[in-house]
Amino acid sequence: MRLPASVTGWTWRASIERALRAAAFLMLVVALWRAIMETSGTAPELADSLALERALVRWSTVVSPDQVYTRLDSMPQPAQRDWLAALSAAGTRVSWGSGTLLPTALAVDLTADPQGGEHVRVAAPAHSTVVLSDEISVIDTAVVQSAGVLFDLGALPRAVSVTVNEQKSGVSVRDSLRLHRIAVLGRAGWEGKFVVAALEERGWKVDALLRVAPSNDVRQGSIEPIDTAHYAAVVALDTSAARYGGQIVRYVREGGGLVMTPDVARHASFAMLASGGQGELREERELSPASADPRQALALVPIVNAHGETVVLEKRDALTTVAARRVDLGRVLQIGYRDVWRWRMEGGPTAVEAHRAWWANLVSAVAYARAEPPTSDSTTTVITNGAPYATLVDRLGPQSPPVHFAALVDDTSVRWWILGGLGVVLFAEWASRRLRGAR
Amino acid sequence: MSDFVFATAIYASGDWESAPNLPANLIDSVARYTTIDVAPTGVNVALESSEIFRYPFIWMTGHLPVRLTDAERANLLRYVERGGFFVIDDHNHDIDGPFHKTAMEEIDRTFTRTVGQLVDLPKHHALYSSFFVFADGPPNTQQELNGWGDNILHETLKAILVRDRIGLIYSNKDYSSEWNTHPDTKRFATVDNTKFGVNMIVYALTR
Repeated sequence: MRLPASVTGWTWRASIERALRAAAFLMLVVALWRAIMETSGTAPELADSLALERALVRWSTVVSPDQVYTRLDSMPQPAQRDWLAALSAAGTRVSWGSGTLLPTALAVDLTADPQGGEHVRVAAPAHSTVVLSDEISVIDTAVVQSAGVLFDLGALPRAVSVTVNEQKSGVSVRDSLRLHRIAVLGRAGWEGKFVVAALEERGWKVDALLRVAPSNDVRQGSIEPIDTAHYAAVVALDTSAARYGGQIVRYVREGGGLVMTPDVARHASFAMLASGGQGELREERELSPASADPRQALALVPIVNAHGETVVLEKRDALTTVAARRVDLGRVLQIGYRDVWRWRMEGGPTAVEAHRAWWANLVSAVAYARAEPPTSDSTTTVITNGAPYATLVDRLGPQSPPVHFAALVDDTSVRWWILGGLGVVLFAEWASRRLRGAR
Repeated sequence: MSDFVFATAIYASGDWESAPNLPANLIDSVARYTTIDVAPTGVNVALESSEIFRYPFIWMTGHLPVRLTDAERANLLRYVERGGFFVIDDHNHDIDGPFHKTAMEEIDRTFTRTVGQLVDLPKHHALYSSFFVFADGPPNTQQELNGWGDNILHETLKAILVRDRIGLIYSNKDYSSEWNTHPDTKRFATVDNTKFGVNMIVYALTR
């Protein structure tokens, strides 16, 4: 039996109109809900990197959100990061997330050398491209193989910055190091002569005490008390340094640096400072000026049975030739070579510079040098962040998952969509009623 | 640590071996007065060979004209630049003699345009107090006024300086004759005249 239309009251057009009215009602509910959420501040405010600056102003002046969420596509400026941290401290729950920020860190170690220089260490994910720059131009680039890269800078820029995959991670300002003198202790001989010459040519001030007779020393400068107030490092060439054994041990423990030869490492006064034991002597060989590595021809007492904390710095074939270790606050470097002066005299055209640089690097590796901050009248900029990702996590906590549901209460775009959709739905419902003759 | 080895230069043009007892005499003095490890015998090394770089102290003397070959000149320059200590002593003690004149020319030709000119060492130079003290500068020798040579006392030694260190010493004082004696003759002397030789060697080893 077919029921009359007046009984059912449900024509297809009326159905559509009812659906449109339901949709309009739903939109009104959402708009009301958003308004309530915004007013109550319970909905998280969102911002991405581009809108962060504007959002920070709004969050600080127009609204006081209970929680905010930022999607960071690039590292925020330090001021923005600190602003977010201030919001957090004021009671706003601040969370953030990112899929593109790279955890990087930059550290600059000044080289204790009169000619200056610095080691720049950059930690970055494997296979990322690291670009090192100073204030003017790019200095060097490298691709990370495992966990980071190390740059050795001979020149002394005032500041360096690192960009990793186009993300700038930090700028470092240069401090200066206060360098004391070097003390060279030993017997009169070619090794002492050429060690002193090499270090002085490099710019170090050297005090030397070289024994020539039981009661006769050749002195260059004056041997001050061996402590960190007077000397950056001590180079002990042979057992004649043992008369200062107690001072040297105390000096190293208090932060001083010591470079010692095989003869010194064997002596009882210095045994506790040695990196390891003494292997069998390898005799010297003829040193050709054309040799690519003159150290291959030097006499060698290899370092064996190294202590656990010893760091091997150089090897010849499988033999340890230079090793270092920390002793309390100081550093001790033990070399296995003998008569290194032969390198300078018998080596090729670059031998003099290479010998000089080698000794300078040994001393720099252990030298005690106190960093001094820039002077008050300097024009250097303020030290900025070498580990921005770590600082971000430190200030704002770790990343949070993206707040998807809150997209409904995202800023102006949703609001206009709701308003526009409401208008379209109401117009369509009114038009349909009018077209079928209903009121 | 390697021993100090006294080396005498062999050069092509002259009588390089004119003071055969000098090495032993100075070696004896170094061993007598110091604790420096010194090889008991000296060596002779050709100035043109790369072997000279094994011996950072070299003594050169003679009576005859000095004409260095290109190889000798190049080696001498490199030797001094690297820090070697080279002594040239006029065995004639004659500033008008063939050795002095030609040696001066060779030194000028080798060093003046690269390292610098010969300069007079002042009497207060560290060389004169490196072990024994010679307040009046280089000690005179019995040869200088013996009627041979130029018969004058030579007041100073000359030197080529490399980074403020002596790289080459030139002497007119004829230490080659003064010290060309058997080591045992020292015990008959009231003053050991080889002491200044010890100063040279100690300076070379410590500066």
